[in-house]
Parts: sequence; structure tokens; C-alpha cells
Amino acid sequence: MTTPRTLVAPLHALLTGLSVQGERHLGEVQADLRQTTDLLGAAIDKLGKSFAGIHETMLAQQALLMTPFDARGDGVLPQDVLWERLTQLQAQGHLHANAAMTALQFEDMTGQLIGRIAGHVESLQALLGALGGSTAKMTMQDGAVSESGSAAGAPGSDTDTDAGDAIATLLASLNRVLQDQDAAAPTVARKTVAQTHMDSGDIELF
Amino acid sequence: MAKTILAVDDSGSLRQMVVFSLRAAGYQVTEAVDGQDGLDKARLQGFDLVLTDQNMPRMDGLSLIRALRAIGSYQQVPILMLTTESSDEMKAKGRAAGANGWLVKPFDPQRLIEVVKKVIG
Repeated sequence: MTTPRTLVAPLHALLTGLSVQGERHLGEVQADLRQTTDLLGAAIDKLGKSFAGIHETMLAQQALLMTPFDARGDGVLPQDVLWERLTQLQAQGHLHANAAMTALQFEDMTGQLIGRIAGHVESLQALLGALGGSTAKMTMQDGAVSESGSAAGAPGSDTDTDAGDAIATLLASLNRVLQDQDAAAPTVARKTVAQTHMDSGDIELF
Repeated sequence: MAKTILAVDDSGSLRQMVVFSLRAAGYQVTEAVDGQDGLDKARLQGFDLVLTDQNMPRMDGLSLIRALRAIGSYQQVPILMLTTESSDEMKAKGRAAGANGWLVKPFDPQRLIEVVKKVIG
């Protein structure tokens, strides 16, 4: 026979499981959002500096190329000096372009993080949906819970016991749903992006 | 004749940057959108180097390496991983699968070219 005391343990398990799984998903979402924000910030900062650098390099190249025409004879840079300076500026431009290309890879990393965030949100949605689906099978009648339409009666009556059994069945069912969802969770849990900045990564040849 | 490279990555933007960098350095690059696509293309044509991501739909990088190493003509072809994964555990798995190197994203184009030159010339 189901008594209020026997319902405490499954109810406790349900609430604890729900809290643990909910916090786990939301905690991961929060961490991934922070990481995404960090990566986007770093990428924007690096891209801004790179494009400013490319622009400055272009202006310097332009100024250098205009020098012989402005000077018209006196003060014209010797050709070897001009070539050397242009080569330096070209190398400088390459450095800025490389930095920009490194920063542009934020899309790959943030894309993976956003995919993972979506996975956790979907898992949480599936968890709440499954719990909601199980709960919806129960109906409320006359202020007490019953299953398959059986009515609840006065305390201690047979119908009151039926309602207690129905609650126990519901709690057991909800706990099973939680366990199933918990078992499915590791598929979205593995983290594939640890980067929080946009500096180029390590290289190791085996 | 230009050396040929198979670049496998499910991220279009990443592939674009790999292709741009390597072509600028004189390599001939073929793109594949995931491990399965890479394996299909590798079966059709030989490559001097395979550069692959790890996490991709249909077939991941480690599975691609194992599948390539099972093909006679790819047993000696250098395979480099280019991935966001940086754990020692994953690197060990890559090495065990037959990878010759591990490059952590984001990559610097100049450093990528230096490594490729070191591996295939």
C-alpha cells in the first residue's frame, strides 16, 4: 500500500535528478556562451587590428610609389632603396593578412560551440517534454490525482489509496524518464573546442 | 609538377582559408566536405598529403585516417590533422590511427605552409 512516507524517496529522486540534469545542461550552455563571447571578442579585436594594419601598409606603399613623381628629380629614392622598402611593406602586409586569416577561423570554433549549445538546449527540451508527456497521462479529478479516470475519495478510503498508488506509478515513470535522459546526455557532453583566444594553435609532428 | 593535397573539413570557411593559403604556395588542392567525401576522393585519385579535420558529420578524421591506412597506396602518404581538438588523449588516438602530425586550430597560414613544405617539400 502506498503511503505519503513511501512517496518521499521517489519524489526526492525526481526533484534531485531534475535539478542535477537541468543545472548540468544550463551550466554547459552558460560556459559555451561565455567561450563563444570570448572568441568573438578576440576575433573582432584581431580582425580590426589586421585590417587597420593592411590599410596602413597600403597607404605607405602608395606614398612610397608616389615619391618619384612628386620629387621630379631631386630627392628621388634610388631604385634599390625603393625596392627594399616595398619588399618590407609587402612582408608587413602579408603578416597582417595572415593574422586576419587566423582570426577569421572564429566561425569554425564558434560554430562548434553553438552546435553544442543547441544540443544541450534540445536535450533539456526533450527532458522537459518527456516529463510533461508522462505527467499528461495523469488527470486531476476532485482535487486528487488519479490514473485512467479513477476518482479520489476521503482520506484512508480505497480511492485515496488508489490515488497514492497512481502518484507512486507516476513518480516511478518520471524517474525512468530522467534516467533515460541522463544516459543519453554524454552524446552532447564531449567538448571539442577548448580555445578562448584566437592565437594560432600548437603544431606537433609525430 | 605541383604536389597535390586533399583538404578535408566540414567548415566551408575553414576549407576556403586552407585552400587559399596552400594554392598561394603553389600546391594543387582538392576539397572534401567530410571524412566520407574525403575517402571517396582519395579512392579516385592519389594525393601527396591529406590534411583533415577531426569532428565532421558522416565520418570523422580518425576514421578517415584508419580507412586510408587500410588502402595500400595510402600507407605511406603523410596525413596531418588540423582540428580544434588539443588534448593529449586525442593526439595519442590520432598517432595510433596513423596521423603524422597534429595542428591545432586556428592555424597561421605561414606556419601551415612551413609544415606542409617540411612534410612533402
